[in-house]
Amino acid sequence: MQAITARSPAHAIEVEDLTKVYPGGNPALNGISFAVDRGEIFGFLGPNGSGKTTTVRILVTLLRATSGTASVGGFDVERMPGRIRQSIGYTAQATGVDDDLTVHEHLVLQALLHGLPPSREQQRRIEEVIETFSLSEVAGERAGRLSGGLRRRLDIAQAVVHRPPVLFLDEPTIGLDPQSRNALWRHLRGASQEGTTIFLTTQYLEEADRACDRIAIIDGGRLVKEGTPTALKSEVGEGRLRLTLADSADSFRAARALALSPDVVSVESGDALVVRLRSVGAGLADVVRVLDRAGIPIETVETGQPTLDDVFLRYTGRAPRSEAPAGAAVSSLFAAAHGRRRR
Amino acid sequence: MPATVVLTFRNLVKNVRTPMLVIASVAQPLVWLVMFSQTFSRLADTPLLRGLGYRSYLALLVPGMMVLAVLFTGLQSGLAMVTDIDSGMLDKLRISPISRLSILLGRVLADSVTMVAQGAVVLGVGALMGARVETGWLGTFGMLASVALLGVVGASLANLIALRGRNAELTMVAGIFVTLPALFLSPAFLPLRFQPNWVQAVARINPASYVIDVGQRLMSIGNDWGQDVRMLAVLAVAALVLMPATVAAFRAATR
Repeated sequence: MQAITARSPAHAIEVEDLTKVYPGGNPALNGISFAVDRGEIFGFLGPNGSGKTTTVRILVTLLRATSGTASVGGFDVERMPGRIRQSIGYTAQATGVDDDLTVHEHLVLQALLHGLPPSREQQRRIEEVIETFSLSEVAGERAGRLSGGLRRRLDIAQAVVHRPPVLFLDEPTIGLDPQSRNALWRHLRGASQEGTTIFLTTQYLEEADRACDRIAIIDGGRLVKEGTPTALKSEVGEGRLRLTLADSADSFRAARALALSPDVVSVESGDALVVRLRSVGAGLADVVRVLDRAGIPIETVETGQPTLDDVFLRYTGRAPRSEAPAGAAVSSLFAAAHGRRRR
Repeated sequence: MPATVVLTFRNLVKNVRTPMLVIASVAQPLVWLVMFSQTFSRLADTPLLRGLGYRSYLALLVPGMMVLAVLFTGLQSGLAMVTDIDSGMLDKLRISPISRLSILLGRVLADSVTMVAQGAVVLGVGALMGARVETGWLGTFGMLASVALLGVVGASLANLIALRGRNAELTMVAGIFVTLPALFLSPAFLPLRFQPNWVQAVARINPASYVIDVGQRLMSIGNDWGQDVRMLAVLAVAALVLMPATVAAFRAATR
């Protein structure tokens, strides 16, 4: 922490033209660049195999880049990995817990390894994370006896117990129930307000939308888009309609008719029609008019804000993942994609 | 608190929590000790053997069986490393601000505690069966310390294989492939002078052979400082080759 303040770099994380080619020639990163400010929650979004985990592992000094530069807290990953390790916390996609140790022992071990000696302060922080992640009932249990969700919570608790200035979370919410997710987001929000920089990867776009200050979308080892969730969404279009038709056989004809309308950004046809509009106000009337003229009766209309799914689809050409946590927007997209494939 | 101490403690806690592993690796040598000393006694427990200074065939066997126990534990150390790799614990250690050497030292120091305990159990059973350490407490201490040193060298090798291979089966097979010849190409079961020339030649570069020879002298004949120094030199060379190679394997794992 001291070192970081002293050096006061412009950004907590800086990545410049980073590439990684794994032995065997599989290119995972094709030159990505981005910067994360201090205290920012930065979301790294991408489908499986897009290079998210590779990026994180390079930043936490577990993997070496093939070319390009990266720094954390002003320290270069190649030249000063030791200094970076003094200021980070990390949870991997697969949980890092030891079946033979108890929950409490894990937290003591991490605290000690990160230079927090046995003290009242250490005890206080351990109790705090046990409280935050609702682990008090299992504090004395060996990790091998914990459920998947509890192991995940323990893993995150391990990453934050020493209060690292920069926190890396690789898909932290996988396997967490909704309450635990909310607790995690609350905790991260609080830590970020106290100046912790948080870099997280996720496939859950809704989550990134609510939790992140800024988002980068990565696909095929390239950064395809970067910005605030709001900016990204407004670029895709301001509004989104979900229509069900009286006769679903009309859906293809309806989609064709709507695609010609100037207010319509895109149309997905499936079990329902998902129409993205430049603006809901003018667009809604237009959509109804077009379908009426074509003699296609509408059964229901739902309006909504565009989600990051829309952003994702727009910039990567495909849906982020099939099974999403919650939210009608995501499942309708799934339905649309699924319907298309069936046809 | 130094990371090596923290990690030694962590690994000892793990050993205590899974006592079956510790017991299993000492059970095998005990079975061999009882079996070989009984089945071979008529054949091997001869005036010829005693003429060389050995008190009994049992006394000859004890040091080799201590070595077998610590080599098994060294092998388990490598398997535990694979477990740490698979469970993500090694990554947790590697992102901590601790030296890579302390990760290895924390493991082998904990192993050495287990190894001394196992060596003591083999010695104890040998004593119950009638084989005493003729050189007394100092000789006993020397035997325990030297087998633990060899065990640490073996554990380093197993950890090296574990880090390079990242595979439990591979570590297991490679470990047994090394352990059994290390035992048979030594005076563990038969004084070297009764064995073919090529075995004597191989034994000269086998660290286990030196430790077994020193152990057998301490059991029956008496201390030989020259042989002690040679043993320490061979172990030191092995450690100096293996420790940096293992630490390098931690670094290579980041590529």
